[in-house]
Amino acid sequence: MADHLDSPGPIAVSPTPGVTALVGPPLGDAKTDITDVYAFLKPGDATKSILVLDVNPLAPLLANSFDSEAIYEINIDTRRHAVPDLSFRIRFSRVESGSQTATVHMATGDVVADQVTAGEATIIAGAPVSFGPTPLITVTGPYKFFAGIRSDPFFFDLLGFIDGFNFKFGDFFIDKNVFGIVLEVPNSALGATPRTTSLWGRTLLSQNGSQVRDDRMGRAAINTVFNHGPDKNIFNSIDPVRDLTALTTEGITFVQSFENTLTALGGDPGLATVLLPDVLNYDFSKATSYAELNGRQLQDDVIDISLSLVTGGGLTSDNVGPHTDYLSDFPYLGTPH
Amino acid sequence: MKTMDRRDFLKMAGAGAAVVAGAAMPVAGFFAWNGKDILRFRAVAGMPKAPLPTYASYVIEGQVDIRARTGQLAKSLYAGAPEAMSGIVFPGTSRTIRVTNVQRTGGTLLISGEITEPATLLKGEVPSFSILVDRANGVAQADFLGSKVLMRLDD
Repeated sequence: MADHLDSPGPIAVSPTPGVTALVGPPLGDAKTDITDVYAFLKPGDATKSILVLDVNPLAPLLANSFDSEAIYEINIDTRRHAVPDLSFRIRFSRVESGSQTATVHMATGDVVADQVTAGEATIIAGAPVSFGPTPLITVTGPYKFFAGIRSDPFFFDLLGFIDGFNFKFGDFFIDKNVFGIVLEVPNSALGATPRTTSLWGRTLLSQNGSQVRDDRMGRAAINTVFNHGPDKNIFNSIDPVRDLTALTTEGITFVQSFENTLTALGGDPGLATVLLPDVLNYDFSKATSYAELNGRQLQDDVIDISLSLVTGGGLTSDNVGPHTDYLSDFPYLGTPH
Repeated sequence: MKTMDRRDFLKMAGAGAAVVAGAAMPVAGFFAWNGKDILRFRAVAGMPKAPLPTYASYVIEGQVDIRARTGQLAKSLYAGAPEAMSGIVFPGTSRTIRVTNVQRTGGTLLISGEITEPATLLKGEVPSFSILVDRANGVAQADFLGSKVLMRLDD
């Protein structure tokens, strides 16, 4: 899984006394559990980009709407310093009479992580959420927006991973859904420095009148494959700018922890500082390719690429490939199952 | 599934010493004797194994009548590590097992059975089932989709 059902997604039902706050609730909520982040050039028009933030694994089994108390962010760093200079922030209304709407704000300038209302301009308002097979698309100026249930584009032999890289069970996600947020933006909105641009998704939950960090993700499967136990939630709670210096519960840095895992898996420990900070580099002046560490398309086989990297070529494939239900046009995510 | 030699099992479990027959059993919780011959238990293993972070919990639980050699077990794969286990079962991984035999050897029980819905089997998963329960050492061993897994018995 890219980040499906990983912390803080699962709702703990029998947590160990004393560590409740570190393992799931009260922050565990499938509605804000990020599954994947994608960024790719619009097919047929390289002057625009498609940004995707998927949440809610196994939808609608665990949740059947977006969280009206949450903020869903796609953060953009234009200067390769792991601090956002731009943020697309999506907020949802409450579900009323089976309907829910979204508002997309763009925050620019000094986008400080916790100043979630500073410098915002509305770019999409009142966009209806899709709960059925037909995608409801909202177009405002140069922006195009979709939010709703879709076929999960991610592909992976999840049971093979759980069985210790024994890949023989096929694509666990072939018949699963997610709640997708898809935004088409002109590249000009992403700044003028494509070579140093990166992005990541983040979700914030409302708690006791303030916003708290819930989940975040740049590249695929980073938190799932490298972080153990409570470290997953520590990782989720910090910004990418702290990835190189923050400490795990063992008192070592996340970089050292990643180096240890890479060494144990047969990979190059030097990759730790490539994988961290956990952001998705996205040079929109070039073709999108996850293998080239440049963005991520729906069909990019991120697991095969990652397996080969983290095992030093010891494993090269989980033996499953891209789904066949991706759409050729917006919102690109396939019809829900 | 190949049945494991008891000596190998104890070595793998890290027990090192012989099982003490007739050790005192708790009377409540996941592991309990209900009457003389009825055993209730729950065995849990975090998956996958190190160096990968634990992502899921493999759970086998249920009740067997040792004298009658009958009972029913369930095995499931839950999201979350054992110390943070969720109530979310990965779709397609839950099975019901009808117990067909129970063999008691000293302090261990070898419970055999059959999955009641063979049509749902995954690749590598076989309809026959067995779990070796070592109650004195608080461990068990069972099959997970073709691989042997050492499990912890919950109190």
